Amino acid sequence: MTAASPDLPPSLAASPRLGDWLRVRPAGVVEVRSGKVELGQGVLTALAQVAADELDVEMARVRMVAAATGISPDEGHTAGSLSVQQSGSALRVACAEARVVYLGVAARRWDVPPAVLTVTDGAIAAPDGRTTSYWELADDALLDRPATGLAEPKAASRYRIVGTSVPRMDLPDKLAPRPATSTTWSWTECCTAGSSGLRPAAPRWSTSSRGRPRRWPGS
Amino acid sequence: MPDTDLVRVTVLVNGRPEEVRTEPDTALLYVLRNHLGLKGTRFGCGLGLCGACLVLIDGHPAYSCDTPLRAVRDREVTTMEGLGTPGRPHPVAQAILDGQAAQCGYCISGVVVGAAGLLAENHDPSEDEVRSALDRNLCRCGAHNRIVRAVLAAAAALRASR
Repeated sequence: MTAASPDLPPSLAASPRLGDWLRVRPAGVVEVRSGKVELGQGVLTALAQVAADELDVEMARVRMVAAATGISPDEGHTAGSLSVQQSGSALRVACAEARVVYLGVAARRWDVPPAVLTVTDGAIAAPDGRTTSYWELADDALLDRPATGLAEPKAASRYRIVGTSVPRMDLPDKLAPRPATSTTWSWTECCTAGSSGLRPAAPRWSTSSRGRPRRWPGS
Repeated sequence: MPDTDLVRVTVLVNGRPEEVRTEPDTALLYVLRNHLGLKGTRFGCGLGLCGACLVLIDGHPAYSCDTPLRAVRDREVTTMEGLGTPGRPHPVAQAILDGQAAQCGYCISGVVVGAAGLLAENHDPSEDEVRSALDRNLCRCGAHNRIVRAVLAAAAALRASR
């Protein structure tokens, strides 16, 4: 193991193991982890766009893994409009390097320079027509190494998915007949949340006084 | 609390009779979430103000957090889980998805239930009527106008399918 490059994005320097950020699965998906939490700001979707573009896979292949203390990179707070800046820059470099790692395996297998290989939605092709894929080569050991920062991320002009408006990945679960989200809290957590007695203040639906809530506490 | 203070109450939830043994004053919300495991209905304020806990009682939107269980004995309760099926959300939920009309999602099941109640009674609401109906729901995120447009789109979709 070599020490992580000081030029790595700070989140990646703090958690340099590539396998902490992403994992290629034989079933044809990439699991991507971030230390930033989806709060409705759409961060998991934005980060999936970064991962998809750097890896040359379609968005549908990216599975964002909800942040969990035991398994996710520690990225501190999810706050300050910093999530794409911090986690996005880390994932950009980590995914670019993972792409190079996987291309390296194919290049060695076929004895061709990595630069001649192309990746289309995870399918790796050589000029002579030979093909393989991330999914065929999937091996967690390949990413059990620290990032070097030597893989060049794509220029912004080469992004196809970043910068476009894509549907939020977290919304279908939130609107499913049986929602499975962080908001399906337990009774104990609900009581804690509700015991503050704080008066709710929220944006109004209309400027008229019709249909106001029935009463406020203490009024 | 001695067991003798507990009562058996049968409630019709999403079309199924459910017998619950608890204190008669227990809020319907806790029965749904804790006894029946229906966690689509959310605890927001606990005071009948925010609408995160909205359910339909005999088809009408009602706050489940301040509705005692005894008040719904033998009445029909519909929750988020009873609107639509997995893979086929209620038209309001589908319209919210199509319009990307939610952020954190905490309030959104209450919004869906409230809007579904509105559209069951009023097939062609005006924008003002939608906004008035949604005044039952507080949302701190900011998808309000998208949600209004989604409910109007759902109304149109429901009319087209009738």
